[in-house]
Amino acid sequence: MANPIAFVPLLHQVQEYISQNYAAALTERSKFPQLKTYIEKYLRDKGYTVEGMTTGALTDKLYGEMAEYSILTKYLGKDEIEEINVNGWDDIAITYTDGHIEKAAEFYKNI
Amino acid sequence: MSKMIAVCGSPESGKTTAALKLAQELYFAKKGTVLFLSPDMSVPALSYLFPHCKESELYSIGKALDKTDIYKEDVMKQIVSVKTMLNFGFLGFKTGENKFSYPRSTEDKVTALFHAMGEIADYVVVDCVSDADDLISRMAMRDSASVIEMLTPDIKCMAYYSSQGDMFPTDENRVIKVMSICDRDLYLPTEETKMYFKNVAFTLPYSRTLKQQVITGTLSERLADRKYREQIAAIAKKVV
Repeated sequence: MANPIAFVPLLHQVQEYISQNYAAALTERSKFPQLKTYIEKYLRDKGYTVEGMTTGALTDKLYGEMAEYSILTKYLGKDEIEEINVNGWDDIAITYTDGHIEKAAEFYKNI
Repeated sequence: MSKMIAVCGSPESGKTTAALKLAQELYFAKKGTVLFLSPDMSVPALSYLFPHCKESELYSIGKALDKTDIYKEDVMKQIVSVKTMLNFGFLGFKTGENKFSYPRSTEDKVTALFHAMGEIADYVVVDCVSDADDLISRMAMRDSASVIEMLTPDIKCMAYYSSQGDMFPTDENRVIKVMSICDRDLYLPTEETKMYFKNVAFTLPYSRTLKQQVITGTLSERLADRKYREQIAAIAKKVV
């Protein structure tokens, strides 16, 4: 049964659950693929859903927060990006190699 | 050194019975320590191999696969054994479990599982699932020293192999094709099917006793049928 929840409290719950039961999946890079499977299982068992997100997208986002670089992940490692400036929780500027600067649509939440 | 044997093939081709009887042959005739693994989560093998056991007497390989690191001890805790075969272990899922009971397996975990099983037993027989989505079955077919492909003399079997051919090994040296005769009442195009598949090395005859074991839930016992056992012995000789 679907159990709607907001993203931030869900993230806290998942982090607590994984660190209590499968800590190695958080700390060892080679075990990061396992982390997604534990997140999937947790969401399925609890029936949690976040408005506007499919289970797959939610799993990926939780994984991104826990094992990657949160909202910055999608910008990292791209050849066309010169610089990322985090000026504030709601102000991230992306400088491209061609010189133009864009403000990121995403922002950090108070977690 | 431990040897892994994967038994795979189309649905209803007698994979489980052939894999189990081969495992028993390796145990009794070759005097090896044997582990039989069934990764089937649609119809958990332990539920019909041990229908008379209490739930507390059965264990689940899912418990070992749930861990971030899988060691020999984790696998040993999940082995189901019978009194008549002391160095023979059954590993699989138990009654009531399904693909949602445990987190999805990952490649590193399955590799660790195979490694742990190799440390425990001389022979590991994997009763693979027909479904290409099953990671344990796919990796068993990839990593096994021998892959036994079960065939049945019918069009459905041909359709299965033509659709799922990509999941089977292309390395002919590891593959042993075995025809399984699951019926005796009808005319079966056995020779025609053998010509279609080529290089069918063995034919397992229809066995009433085996069918009786399936019906009565006594597959874990040794089979008395001499003709069937002769063929299984020949397959065991080939894989060893």
